[in-house]
Amino acid sequence: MTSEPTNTASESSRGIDPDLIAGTVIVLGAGVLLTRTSDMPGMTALLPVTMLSALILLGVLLIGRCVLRRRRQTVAPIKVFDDAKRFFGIVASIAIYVAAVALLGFYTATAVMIPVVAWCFGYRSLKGVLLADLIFTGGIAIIFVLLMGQELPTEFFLR
Amino acid sequence: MGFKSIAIAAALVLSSGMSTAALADYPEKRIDLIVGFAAGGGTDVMARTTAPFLEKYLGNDVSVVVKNMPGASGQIGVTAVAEAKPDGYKIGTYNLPGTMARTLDRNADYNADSFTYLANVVNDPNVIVTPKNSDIDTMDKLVEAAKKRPGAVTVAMSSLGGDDHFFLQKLTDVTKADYTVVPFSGSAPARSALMGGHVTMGIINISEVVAFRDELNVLGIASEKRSSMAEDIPTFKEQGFDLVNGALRGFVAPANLPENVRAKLLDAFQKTYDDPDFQQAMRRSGNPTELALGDDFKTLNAEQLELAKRIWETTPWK
Amino acid sequence: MYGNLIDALPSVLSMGNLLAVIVGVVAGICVGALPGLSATMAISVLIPFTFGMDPLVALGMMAGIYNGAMYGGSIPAVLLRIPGTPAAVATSFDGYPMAQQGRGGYALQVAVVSSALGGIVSALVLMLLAPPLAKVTLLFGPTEIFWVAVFGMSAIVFLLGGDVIKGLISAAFGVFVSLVGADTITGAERYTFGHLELLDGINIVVLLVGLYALPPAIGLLEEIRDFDTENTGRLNTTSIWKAIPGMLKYWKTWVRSSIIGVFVGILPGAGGSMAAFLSYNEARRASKNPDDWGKGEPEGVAASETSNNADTAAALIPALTLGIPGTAVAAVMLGGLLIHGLQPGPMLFRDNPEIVFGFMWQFLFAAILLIFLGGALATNSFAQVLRLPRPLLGAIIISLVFIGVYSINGRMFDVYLMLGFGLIGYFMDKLKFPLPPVVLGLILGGFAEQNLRLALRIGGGNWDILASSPTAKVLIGMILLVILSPLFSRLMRARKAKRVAE
Repeated sequence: MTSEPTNTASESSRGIDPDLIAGTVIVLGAGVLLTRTSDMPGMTALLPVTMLSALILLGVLLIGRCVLRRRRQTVAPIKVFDDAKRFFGIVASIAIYVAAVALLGFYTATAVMIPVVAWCFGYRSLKGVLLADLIFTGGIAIIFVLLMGQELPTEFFLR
Repeated sequence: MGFKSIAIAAALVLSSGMSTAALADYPEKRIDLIVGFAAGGGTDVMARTTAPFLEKYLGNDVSVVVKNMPGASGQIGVTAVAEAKPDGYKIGTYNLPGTMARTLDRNADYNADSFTYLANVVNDPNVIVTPKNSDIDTMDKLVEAAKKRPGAVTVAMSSLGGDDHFFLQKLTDVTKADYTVVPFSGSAPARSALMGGHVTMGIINISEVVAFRDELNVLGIASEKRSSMAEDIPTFKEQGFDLVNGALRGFVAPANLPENVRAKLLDAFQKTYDDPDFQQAMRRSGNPTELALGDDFKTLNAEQLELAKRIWETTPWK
Repeated sequence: MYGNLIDALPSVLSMGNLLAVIVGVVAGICVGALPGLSATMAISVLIPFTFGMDPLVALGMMAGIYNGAMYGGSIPAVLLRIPGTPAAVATSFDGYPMAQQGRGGYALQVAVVSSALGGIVSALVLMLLAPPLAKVTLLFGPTEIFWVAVFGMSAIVFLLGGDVIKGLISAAFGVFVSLVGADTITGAERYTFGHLELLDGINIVVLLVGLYALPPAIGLLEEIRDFDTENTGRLNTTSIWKAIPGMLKYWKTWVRSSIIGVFVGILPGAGGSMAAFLSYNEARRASKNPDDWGKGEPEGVAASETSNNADTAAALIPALTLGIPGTAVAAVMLGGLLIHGLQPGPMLFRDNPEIVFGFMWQFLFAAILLIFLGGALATNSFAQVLRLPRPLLGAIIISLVFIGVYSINGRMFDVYLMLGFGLIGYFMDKLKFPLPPVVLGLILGGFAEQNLRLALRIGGGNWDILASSPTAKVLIGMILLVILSPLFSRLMRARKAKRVAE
């Protein structure tokens, strides 16, 4: 929702300095948000305008430093992804999990997610995975359903 | 234990089940009571205190379960009630004038016609308080101070667009003087700023002042009659100021509730209110009670909306 | 009043009430130690459940959870660099480097002893000094609170880290996040984009979990995060009783941090994380070897953990006497009191002494119990949990994070928000943007702004009000001292060096 380097980092192919992308995202994000302050009363807008202006200024400095650094070839840019495919796999699993919790219910989604994710990302012990799944999901169910009567998103078959 | 006795037992079970269903079909499952605030607030305590009495008077071994949906000063919870199916299994708490004021100062997904008004049970009148060591300890001195230097009297209150804010507008009209609003977030911080002498006066509710009588001067109470929680505080009317205002808390259901369900609920609320145990529990939790049932509550709501509109049009607060 | 204290003791020592405190401390340590779950969440889940309970049982559990979680938060902060609670952020500065050096066990022992000491001091202060300290709280109006917030911001200088531009970007981002929601003074909405869920602002737990717990979970699944499981898994713990004598040299830090924790506690709205940041900063300033800090200095762990526990019971002083909670957790606990018909205020002490003073005893017992329950057994078993195969641990943290954020308000919106912060946090971490300034900015940004504007309203727009009261003048003096003293001491050192040279 805000101005940090979230989306565009996908474009961080080898050549470009990630700081350059971060700076650009910060400047653009803060700029867009700055246009939103126009309909606020004076005192309300004061601090947001100050902060966003500061962010733009700092973003510009960050970009400027990247340009200088590139010209001088002093520091090697930071490497963002060791394995971009794996990273997007993880982000996708988290997104699917959260969507599944909302659609199917907490316990169903969790009972499926834990073994699948652990398996996919390298823990290949069927016994271990299933045991951990049982202990974790069961433990949460005991605490939240039996002891506390606290509701997590309801299961699709109970609605 | 032959086949015959089993058959008789089965028939008995069946018939008894059918007869209750015919007599009173509502309630036949769990009722959710939505509270728009976190557990432990004034509205939440009112709901939790009322729930067991409703269970008792609705009968059918029904359970009334309080569900907290906090956020946006109650608006998230009350919107959920307005949008629920009108079957009597989802009811909610309702705060005045806040809920109606939100239809003016924010985009609300509900309006005064979105609800079936069940019962308003709490009426918490406003009071004017000043620090204990303040020279201003009567209404006359307050008005004098406010007139001497317009805006010099600073008023601590809990929020904008709430009962305390509306009361200040009424006070401004009645006394023809100017005051400076200092909106804290919540009445306890406002009260503490007052006790520390950082502001001139404060507008809070009687329930929030009874525990602090030794630390604060109370200039008057904005009710028709003196409050049973503090008999010694004079009303503003007694002092010649026509000021009646307060925070109201009650219960509503979605609009178009079936008539038999509504009647059953109203009856249960009436019986709850008349229960001495309920009155005692409410008093213990610091809630001054006053009942407005069904159509009376609806009228009350319309009055509050009218007041909010009038203030919003003349002096919008944002 | 002190007679009431003694009178309240027998009922606290009854089996059921004592058990409630023990259960609370254990539950609190677990909640604090599990990444994603927080004390705020645990107590808000507990409150509706306590409606039908005996008040002292309910309050005992809450006191236990609060104390337990404040220590428990340091376990993942030390072992995984995931602060379990907002207040444990400062603990990770030195705790995690210690764990990397294979001294994680000692870090946790320092943490548990410091936590217990802070908690004991805090409970004693609550028992013996609540009414006079409530008067101190009253001295702090909007003007004075504004200056305290400014004082807290002085800690930011250290938190910026090596790269000043990036540090400042983090801080500005934190302040910006704190501005989301309805402006309480004009009622205008800021960056809510029409979402009712954003009107009350962004809960710190949502931000903290997103920034601090989700990126490591992603890292665990990526298997690239530099966890030295060999070292962090082996805690090398000796018996805690043998370790204590070696810690006595931290006594100055313990004393200083306890005072800071109690002081921040009695101020409305500041909270344990500010106490921890401030006391870490002050301890570092007083240290002879400030350059070792952030690289595994046990005294840093001691400073942060002492003060975040010294904040617990002290935060209840304004909550019980004035109804204004000192921390987010105390705010939730106040709800727990109200639900039992216990209205805050001076009358509370007169009308329900056995409950109020009993509650205070429970705080004291909870703090003492920390040493026994939080010692070797608890820390070793959590170290075992954290040694689970990484993909499994990652999957479990993702689920815990969901529970922890969802349960605060019972809505999905907060979870989506947290995921957004998680992505931001991941890239910030990768691009070496420091995270602590975000937390500090979120805590202090909106807080300072609101109080400044309230003060200006009271002063009729006149800026003179900011220096009008004696309390404000003292605070301004302290801030100047803190800012100027390093310059001054450098000057003195230079002069001394010159003299030696001559």
